[in-house]
Formats: sequence, structure tokens, C-alpha cells
Amino acid sequence: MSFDLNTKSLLDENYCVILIQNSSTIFVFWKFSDYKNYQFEKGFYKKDITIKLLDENNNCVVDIPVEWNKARLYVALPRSLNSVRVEIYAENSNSREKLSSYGPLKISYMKETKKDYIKIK
Amino acid sequence: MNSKVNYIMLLHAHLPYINHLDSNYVEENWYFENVVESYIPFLRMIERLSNDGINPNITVSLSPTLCYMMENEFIEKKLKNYIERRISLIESEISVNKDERILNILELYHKNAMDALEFINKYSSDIITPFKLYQNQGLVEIITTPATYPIIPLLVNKETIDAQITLSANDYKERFLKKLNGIYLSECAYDERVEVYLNKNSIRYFFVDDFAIDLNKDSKYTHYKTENGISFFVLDYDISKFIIGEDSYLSNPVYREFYKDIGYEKDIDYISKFTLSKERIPTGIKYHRITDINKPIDDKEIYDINMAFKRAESDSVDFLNKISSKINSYKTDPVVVTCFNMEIFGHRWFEGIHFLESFFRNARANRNPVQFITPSIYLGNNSGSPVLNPYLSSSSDNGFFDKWLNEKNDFIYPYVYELTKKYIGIINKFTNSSVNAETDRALKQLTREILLMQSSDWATLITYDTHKDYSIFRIEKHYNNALKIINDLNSGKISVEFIRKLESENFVFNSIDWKNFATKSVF
Repeated sequence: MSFDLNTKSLLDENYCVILIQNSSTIFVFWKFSDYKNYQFEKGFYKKDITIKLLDENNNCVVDIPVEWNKARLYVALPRSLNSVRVEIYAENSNSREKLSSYGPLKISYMKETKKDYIKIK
Repeated sequence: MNSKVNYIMLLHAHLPYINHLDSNYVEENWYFENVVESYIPFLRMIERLSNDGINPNITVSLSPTLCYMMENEFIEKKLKNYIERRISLIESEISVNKDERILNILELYHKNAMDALEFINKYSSDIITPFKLYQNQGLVEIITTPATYPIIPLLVNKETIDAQITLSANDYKERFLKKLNGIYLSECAYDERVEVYLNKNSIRYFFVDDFAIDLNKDSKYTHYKTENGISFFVLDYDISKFIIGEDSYLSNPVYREFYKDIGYEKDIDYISKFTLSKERIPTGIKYHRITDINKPIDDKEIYDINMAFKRAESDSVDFLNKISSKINSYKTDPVVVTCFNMEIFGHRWFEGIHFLESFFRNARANRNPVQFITPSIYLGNNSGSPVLNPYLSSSSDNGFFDKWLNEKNDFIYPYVYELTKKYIGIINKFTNSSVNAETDRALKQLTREILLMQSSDWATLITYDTHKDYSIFRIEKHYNNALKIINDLNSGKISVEFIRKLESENFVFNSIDWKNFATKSVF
């Protein structure tokens, strides 16, 4: 095998996952089922999906269009979030369909202390 | 006013599990170098201090993957062979060098290598035994890390957080015949999800970096309890920076230069006879001092042992004074906590073991207010402590996880996630049925492969563009091994030969009760 984010998923399901990279950025990755991939490839949906981030009150705080097969995205977080949930939507000419969601993931912010030295590894 | 200041020195030792039966990989040398240059000199130091009635009360975290290498008979044989080849190289260098200054250095290297050989002969190459011995004598307190050193906040599935903590705790009890009290979470990476598994395994304490607390509000203590009743200690970077900071003691011009090694300089055919590698790799034989950190590597002066060791002694006095000066920085019964990689002392910082020994001897000789203590002793004396929940954090330079998750290595995570989900699925499938011995073996080995793939070392090495190919090779190998086992389990056709081969190479965790990691309905 070769490591390629576009290789077929082992799971044959729609999923998305959030990992926290740092206090201002999350990493979102996703894959779709074989059937959904087929539908995207055949143009049943628009090629861009929408990634929505929702805060603890379920308000949408970020709404980003991205190609469905990009499979990953780093997203800048608004500063005030205490938790984050991600939802992925696909659209066609008639409707919008939620494909997957993940979270909420609690985010505990901390000070932005910059250390005045670099650690020796 | 306090009359004494407690000091917890945590020395952390970890290496990824590397054991290849088929051929030699240069990455195996990481273990051999550290045994010869750090672990054995450290153990010898404990022995000398103990003989002189000095108890350093050092806390040592040994990762399970490192412990398994320390106990592996095949690796033990390779270790002995490595030391013998190092001795041959030193003797060859002695025969060709005429410079008295170089010969002095070689004489010291020869003594150290012979000492390492004698040590492993004494303990039949099993480095764990002396650690156990010194723990039983009350000279060190040994703790553990998560099983294969993953970054806990980057583990998506709680079942594998459970496996990483529970297997490690069980393994510790089997190996050290003691209850596990504390854990060093890999790279101090804290995520509140871990606490349920620390409690499940009766782990009393862990460590966090100062990123985990608000220093403006919470800096009057370095020991707290979470709301779940687990103690944690906050590392003190005001003190640590003298050893791991950019302008630390280690950059002093008189200390030995780490990066100038004859392995990179002498004729490759000559060096290969001793390293058994066609690649240029370090040999541990270095003749120069730092001189000036800004000078090019070819412009360094010859190392002077006496000058360097005297400097280590004076730096140790300075370090002791720095800790003493913290006596009134914290409220009642102050405790200063630092964590250093054990590999710094001896391997990275050649004079580091001499520094440590001088440090403990000076504290004793000068009746210093610094009192060496382990976390368990401290907690035994201090039942009350403020309640505080740490922030999500790690000990990386920005306190977060960029080092293990960035555009160079993020391809790992979907693979780990999908495979782990498949693993949990198959564990759930078999958990409520009785399984035959073959299936049980396959599920145990599957657990090992999944955990080894989760090791944070691979992501770190890819980030730093060092041993990147090896890291990707390891991720792929564990991924493919696990996937084959899953497919075999699903088809009911388990290849015993395949499992046996994997067991002989990737054997970590003797006892794996994989049913423990099935999805629970309530947590």
C-alpha cells in the first residue's frame, strides 16, 4: 500500500473526525462510503461539500466550501469557542444533505505563553 | 518562610520498540547507544551514591516499549555485539593515534565501554534487573508511560486510550511486582478523557507542563488534584531551562561536541567494519569540544576531559543553588519538579552523569535545604492540595500538538482511525463468545500491532525529516499486519505461521486481555 489520503476507506461509511492541532487550529478529516463516492463522481452532488463548525450552543461559527475528495482540512477556530462540533453537508440542485458529523469536542484554552527557549531534544 | 524545598527529579526514558529479526537497521543503534552512554552510567551512578549512603530519590519513567527491549534476549545479544564492536573501534583508534590528548579521550571511552560490557555480563544483558533492584532498595521510584507512547489527545477512540493506559499499568505490575503509582503521559500530553482510565488503574499521579495551568493565577503551587481526585505535578521551567533550554549548561564551549563524530569523518570502509553499516552513522567516538556553538563543525578544538568535568561540577553547584532559591516561591511545603530525558545525561551531554552525581553529592555535603523526594513520598506527606483541572496541553514548544500533527505527517491519522475502528469492531464481535487459542493469539497480536502503530515517535521523526522512511515503513508494516489479521479473523482462516512470525518480532505486552477494550455502553 502507499499512504495516500485519497485511498479507499476501510470503513465504507461516511465519517469525519476532528483533531486539535493547537489553540487556534483544528484538523478535520473525512471519508465517504463507496456509494457516496460514486454519487459524487457521477455528479449527483455538487463537487464542493460544506464543512460547518458549530459552537457549544449549536451556532454555526465557520462555514467552508471544500472539494469533497480533499479528505482533510485545517480550520482556524474562533477564539471564544469552548467546544466544537463539525458537520459535513453535500448539496445538489434540490436539497442539502448532512453526510456526517463529529463532536462536540471540548476545547480548553490556555495562555499563549511563548517560551523564551527551545528545548533540546 | 520555608526551611526546605522538596525537589522531584523525573528522568524519563523512552525509545520506540525496534526489533528486526531479518536484518540490521541503523535505528536499532538508538537503543545500544543509550544503554552504553546513559542507562548503564546512570545505574552505576546510583550504585556509587548508594555505597556512600546518599539516596537520590530519583523518579524514573521507563516506557513499556523500552522495557521490552531491555528484556528481549535477541536484542540483548545484539547489544553485547555492539559493545564489543565499539571496544574494537576504540582499540583500533588507540593503535593509530599519536596525539596524547586524543589518547586520553580514547582511554576514557575504553574504560566506559569495558565497564558497560562488565555490567551487562553481570546482569546477563538484562538492564531491567538493576532498575528493579534500586527501586526495591528505595533509591529510585519507577513509573511508566502509556503503552507505546502515543499522544493521548490525538487518539480518537476511547477504547484505545483505555488499552494504552491499562496495558501499561498491568505490564508494570507484572514486571516490577509493585502497584503502579504514577505515569508520565507521553510528552506530558494531557486530555481530560485519560482520567477515567487513570482512576480505573488506581494511578495516583501524573505530570503536566506549565502550559496546562494559568501561571498568572495558579503558580503558587506545583502540586494539585483534579476534580477526579488524581494528583498532578507541574513541571518548573524556570529550573528546567538550565538543562534543556537553548542557552543551557550544555552549550558551554568546554563540553564535548555531540555532532562531531568519527563516524561522519573517517574513511567509510574503515568505519563500516565496526558499525556494520554502509551508511555514515555516529559511533560515539568524538574528539572535540563545542568550542563555540557558532563555529562550523570542522573548526572545533580538541576536547579536554578535566576542564569539562570541572565545569560539570561547578554547573551542578549552580543548579543546586537555583533550586534552593525557589524555597519561598511556592506556598507551604514547596516542591520543585523537573523532567529531563534520561538520554540527555551521558549520551547527548557527555558530562551529564558526572553533573548529576556532583549535584547529589554537593547537596549532601553542604547541608543544602533541597530535599530529594519522589512523588509517592511527597503525596504520602501531603494529603491536602488545591483542586484544579489542567488544560489540554503538551510539553512541545507551543504547548499543543503541532509537532505530531502537521502537513508532513497528518496522513497517518485517517489510517490509524480507520484501522482502530475496525479493531474495536472485531473485538466487539468476539468479546461475548468463547474463542479458541488461535483466535485469542490473533486478537492479542492484533492489539500489539494497533498499539505499535499509534506510537508518537513515527509522527515526530516525519516532522523532523529524520528517519522518515523508516517511520513510514513501520506505520505501513503495523497497518498491513493488523489488516491481515482482521481479514483472517473475519474469514475464519487464521495463519498461525503469520501470527508466530509477528510474535517473534513485535512482542510487547505479555498479557493482553483484549476483551477489556470492547466498547462499553457506559463510561
